[in-house]
Amino acid sequence: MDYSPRKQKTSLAERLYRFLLRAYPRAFREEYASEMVLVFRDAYSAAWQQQNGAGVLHMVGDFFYDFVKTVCIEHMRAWIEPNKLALAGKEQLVMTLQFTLDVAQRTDIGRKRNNNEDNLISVVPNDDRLLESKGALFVVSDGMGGHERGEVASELAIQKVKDYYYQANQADIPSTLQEAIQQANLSIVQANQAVSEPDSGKLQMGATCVAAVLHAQTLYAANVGDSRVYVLHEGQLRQITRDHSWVARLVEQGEITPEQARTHEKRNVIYRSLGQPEVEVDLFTEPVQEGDTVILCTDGLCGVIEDEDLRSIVEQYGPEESVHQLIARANEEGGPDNVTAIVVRVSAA
Amino acid sequence: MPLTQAVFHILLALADGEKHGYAIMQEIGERSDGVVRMGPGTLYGSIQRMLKDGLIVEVQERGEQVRGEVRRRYYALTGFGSRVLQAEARRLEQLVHIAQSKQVLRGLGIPGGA
Repeated sequence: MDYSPRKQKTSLAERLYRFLLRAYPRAFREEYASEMVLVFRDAYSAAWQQQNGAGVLHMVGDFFYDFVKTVCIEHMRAWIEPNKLALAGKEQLVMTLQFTLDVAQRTDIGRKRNNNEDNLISVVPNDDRLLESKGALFVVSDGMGGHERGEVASELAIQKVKDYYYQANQADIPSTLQEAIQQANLSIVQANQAVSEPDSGKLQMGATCVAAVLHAQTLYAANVGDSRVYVLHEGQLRQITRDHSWVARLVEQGEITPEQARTHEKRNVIYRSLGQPEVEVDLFTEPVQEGDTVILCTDGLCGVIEDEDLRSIVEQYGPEESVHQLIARANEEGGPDNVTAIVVRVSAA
Repeated sequence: MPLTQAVFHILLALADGEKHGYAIMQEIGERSDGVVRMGPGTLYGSIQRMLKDGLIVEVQERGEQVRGEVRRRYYALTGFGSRVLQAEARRLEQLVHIAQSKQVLRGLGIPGGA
């Protein structure tokens, strides 16, 4: 109470400072004004305690100079940043709305198998920023292994690819996609190592994996095994990925025809799959345009029906009807294996 | 990379532990013998951007409640913040070495001069 004059001065100066703080942009003020008042109060009382009136004047002068300078700076920032965002927002809109993706997916047990070891996933992020930076992801996997381990392997594959791909911080899409498949491989290898039963050979599992990312005007496809990515462009069907199967090599060397490959006794033998300690992931890049259709499938489809059937179905029907027709067609051919297809039509927004 | 002077001083003030706004200002003033006088506008403007850049974080736990006063906000370096501080200090150290080797500091009465 004996210092009442000083106390009054404090509150007067502080009130003045509080009043000045209104000049800052609203967002800044709401966030920091009360902290700044506390700082002012501390500095003011410290100046009183340590020095004379001149010290206080000095301190008030410093604060006033700081105020004038930073009010201008914060207003400029407050003006620049939303404009920057608005600009980025527009670009993003253009990029994202450039294409709309019409996606359909379906998997079927087929006619001969007791369980479905295929798995599939389609991710078109709702978050525009994620869609803008990472694009849309489609993954198909065909599991192998006794005691229902094939299903586990293909489920692990699609989940790990999805998780890694969208969680990775790096911006480079093709290498992130390849690393995502490597991660999936690692998980399957580790799961295999965890099996320690005497006849664990039976419990070893593996899977094929094909993953496609649509981003801006580009399709990135990565694969291990014999599941495939095709693109239908202006009525022409092109196989984008290259199978890691013996029959595919024989076809490439001209020793057998694609038709012979479909019935070849070694048609199911693949030389690369997830579940091997070391696996190489191939990557393919393809431009896509409005009107193109991307198809992902397991060998239960493309190893059973002819490319011409695939082409004509996808060309005739929309994605939803296409996946039904494709699976029906594979089953008409006997449905020897699980059948899985994802059909993505790219159209202008 | 050169950091702004304010950012570098704030990183340096937080190098030995979390502090609230006034403590940061105080340390900067004391350590520079009153040469560097940072005001609250500069301080919180820099803090805002440093938070956004991930150089520092606001620490919740500390902050003793003083008789109904607003709880003070404490700030601490992130791992990234301390790496940036280290890199910047190293950069400045190299510059000082160059200055020394060219005998720039000689005769100015500044410690470090020959």
